[in-house]
Amino acid sequence: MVWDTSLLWQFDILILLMMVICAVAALALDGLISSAIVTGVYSFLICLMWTHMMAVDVAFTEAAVGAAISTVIFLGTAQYINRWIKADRPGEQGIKQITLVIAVICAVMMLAATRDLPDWADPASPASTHLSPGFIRQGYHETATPNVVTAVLADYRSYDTMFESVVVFAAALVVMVVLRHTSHKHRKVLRLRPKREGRDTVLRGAAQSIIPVMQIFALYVLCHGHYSPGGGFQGGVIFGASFILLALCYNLKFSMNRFREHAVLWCCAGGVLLYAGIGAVCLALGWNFLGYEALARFLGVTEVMARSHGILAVEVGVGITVMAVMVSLYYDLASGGDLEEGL
Amino acid sequence: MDDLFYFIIAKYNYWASLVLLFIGLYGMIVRNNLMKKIIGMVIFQTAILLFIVSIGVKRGATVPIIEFSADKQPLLEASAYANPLPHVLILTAIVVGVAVLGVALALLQKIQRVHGTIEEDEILEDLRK
Amino acid sequence: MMDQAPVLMIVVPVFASLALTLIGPLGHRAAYGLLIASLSLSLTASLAMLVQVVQTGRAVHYRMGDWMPPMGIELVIDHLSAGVLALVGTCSLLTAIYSLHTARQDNPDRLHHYYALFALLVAGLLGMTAAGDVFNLYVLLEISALSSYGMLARGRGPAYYATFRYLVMGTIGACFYLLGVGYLYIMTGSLNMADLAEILSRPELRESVSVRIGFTLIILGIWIKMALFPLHAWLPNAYSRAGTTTACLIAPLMTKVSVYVMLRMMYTVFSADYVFQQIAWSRLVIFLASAAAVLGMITALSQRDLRKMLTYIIVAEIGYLTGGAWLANTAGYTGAVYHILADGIITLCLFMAVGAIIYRTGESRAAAMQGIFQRMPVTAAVFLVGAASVLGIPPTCGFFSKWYLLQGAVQAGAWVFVAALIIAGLVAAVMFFKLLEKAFFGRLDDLMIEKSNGKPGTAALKIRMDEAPLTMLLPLVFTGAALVGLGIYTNEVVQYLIRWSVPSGI
Repeated sequence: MVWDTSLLWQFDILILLMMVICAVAALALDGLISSAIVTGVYSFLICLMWTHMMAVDVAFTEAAVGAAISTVIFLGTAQYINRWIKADRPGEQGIKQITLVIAVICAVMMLAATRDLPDWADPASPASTHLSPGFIRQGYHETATPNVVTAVLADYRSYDTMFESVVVFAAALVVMVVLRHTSHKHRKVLRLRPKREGRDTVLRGAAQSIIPVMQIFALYVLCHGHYSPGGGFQGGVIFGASFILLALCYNLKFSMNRFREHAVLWCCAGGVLLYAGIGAVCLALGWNFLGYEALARFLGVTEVMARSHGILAVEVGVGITVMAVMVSLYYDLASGGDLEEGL
Repeated sequence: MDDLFYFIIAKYNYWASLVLLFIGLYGMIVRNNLMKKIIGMVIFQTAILLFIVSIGVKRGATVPIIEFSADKQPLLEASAYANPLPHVLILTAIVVGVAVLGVALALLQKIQRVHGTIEEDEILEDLRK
Repeated sequence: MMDQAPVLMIVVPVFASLALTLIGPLGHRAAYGLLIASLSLSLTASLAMLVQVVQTGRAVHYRMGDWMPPMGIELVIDHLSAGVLALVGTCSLLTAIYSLHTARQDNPDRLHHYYALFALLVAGLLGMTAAGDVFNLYVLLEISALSSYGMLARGRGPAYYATFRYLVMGTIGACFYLLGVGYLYIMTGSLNMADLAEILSRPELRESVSVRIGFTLIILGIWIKMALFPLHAWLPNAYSRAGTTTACLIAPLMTKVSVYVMLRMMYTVFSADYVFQQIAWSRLVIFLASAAAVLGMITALSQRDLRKMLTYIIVAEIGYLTGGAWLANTAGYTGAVYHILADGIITLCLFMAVGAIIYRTGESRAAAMQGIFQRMPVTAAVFLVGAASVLGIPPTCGFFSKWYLLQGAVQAGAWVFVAALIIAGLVAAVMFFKLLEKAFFGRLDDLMIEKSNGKPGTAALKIRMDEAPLTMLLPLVFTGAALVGLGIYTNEVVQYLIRWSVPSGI
């Protein structure tokens, strides 16, 4: 069998090797801030890998979520914890060695068993022949959405996506409930963060010119998700990141004056409400939950176009929730829950 | 030799994700520092995501966005596009991952405030007191 | 409206949770009322489905977004899930009613956010039970897990470290499940349970190593989630530090729904034939289950804290359930399914009773039981019924589940499991007799003296009725009655519900 050289396996192997090195380094380094940065590098490498695997939507999301937001909240947390780890105590070495041995045995067994898996990138594998051709062939005709990932995400599997926005909503709620709860006695709060007034002219100038562009780009990503990579998540994360950038370049209060705590909470719930509300409207019009065809009569378009509009509407819902949740996570984690001062 | 070469080429992606998986799992179970546990958790999760995304790859296929011919007809040849379903699953899973990460970091900040440390053995000592 | 019941049941609590997030200014009563209203609607929908499934004898399928499965996501409510849905709906509504006083005590601030998480957790559990798609199940698993982290972190005293460990273990479990789903997807190309079952029954996949790895990962992930021995270490710490309402909601439901997911995977996605012929781990699993039952009960016996004692009983009960599910015969399966229902109510009953005692005495050590029969006669009586159910004294439902499990174990020749059931029962008997002795004959003044630092004169020595408030008593009495009622109607439950769900091949 001739190997198709269109997939650059040398390139892949290089990235994968770098990923393994980053993973080991992130776990082995003594400084927690450097670990967090290396984890960000790891996320970025995985984006490259995914782009190369033609998973552009996934790579986009990981770049925004994994490499950007995760790193920022890691660093936000690093202000409140001991930044250097202590050497592990010798007493527990035994357990660690046993764990290592078990992990290695499992790894070897699973690596050996990959022989049984279909070859990588084989177009005849079951995963590529059972359901996915159906999505590709019918998706466009049934939803009028060329981006098949968007069509599947927001229509065929829209129920999953609704709960995914509920997951992020729940995360914001849990972080709020955990961090802003102060009834227990605390030790002295570690406060390593420097006082910053946000007077740095270069940063402010850069932020002033970048943020509007970022926000327009976010809206474009959100609305153009039907035709190009992107959609509610990616757009939402980028929009949220613009507020985080504002907080980073000025200070937390400055950002919070523009996007207040209350508005954040309303947006968190409002996005999900929009999504689930559309589902409920479809249900009230006599179709099943999230059956966007119900909207056809209402909007005066064909049923296929109604699905397309339905996808856009729920993507807006996802975008609002994700944007607000990312901002909320940053506000809470970077300020330690008191919303006084951020990173 | 060719067989071995082919075997490596055909499976290296699964291997890499499994290796990353066990690196993450090892860090999660063995490291004493809770922040390191969280980082191990992130690596563990992304390794699984990498594994599932690699299912979607098809040789000679492009990104799963329908292309149009010159006369505006959609080209709907299934073999021309990568499998979209794993991408959808992983989009969901990435978001779940960041949600769990946020909650873990919030708990970590609280642990530091209550116990004054994020080293597991010291926390256990503090709890025994 | 009837054909929309499956989705309404899940979505109504989600809407309630969104509303609860925003209605902070309206105060505690509004939040409480909204929670109860939404859970009542949800329970009504799940009971309506139970009736429908029992009457027609056919599973209800609901196509999400009007897409045909396997392309779209479907909800499937068959006899097994209808039973579990009714259990989840009932237990969560009772806990919500019960929470009027305790939730405010445990959550001096942000009570409405706590209630929002409560509603989300219920939505997640209901969604997991109704899911007909393996990936959808993962998403809902994470919803219930995330909201339970938030609820558990607000414990009595700092519970952050215990919650963190639970989060780490829970994430490992969920990720194993996800990886297992990935393996199944790679080999079959499908995510819909019914479709997967059909593809997996093909002979070439029966022998496949990858399918076997997928099964192993999924089952391991679920075992971590349901805290099967020896993967149980996170459970007692996380649950025993939880606030009363949190414990009453999470302790009975999370592990039971996980057991349900295990049954679903074993018998619906894979088949009894595959699990017992091809995988053939029954012996090992039954051994683990027996160890869980015996060691769980013995550890429970050695605890001084009431709540911790109950959490170890959960570990033991998980042993019963797992053993029953892996006995590979009808009696064992019937016992396991019946025990999911029975143990859900038993656990709820015991946690509610202990919660009421803690609420009144402010004390969670076993010493709080002193003279409880005089102070809180109703609570003590219900606690007695709950204890009788754990021991398996007829006519409570605990007797019948033990009966089926023993019968199944004897039929399968699993003598280890028979021995474990008997030993665990004896240990539980010792434990509860010790407690009840204190409750009956213990002198109230001992506790009072202790609380007033050894000065007998200052304590109120007069025995006073000091029963829990009515919102706590009513659900408590209802669970006690349900334990007896379920026991009396065992025949009907088995005949109309469980017998229908017995998978072919066992």
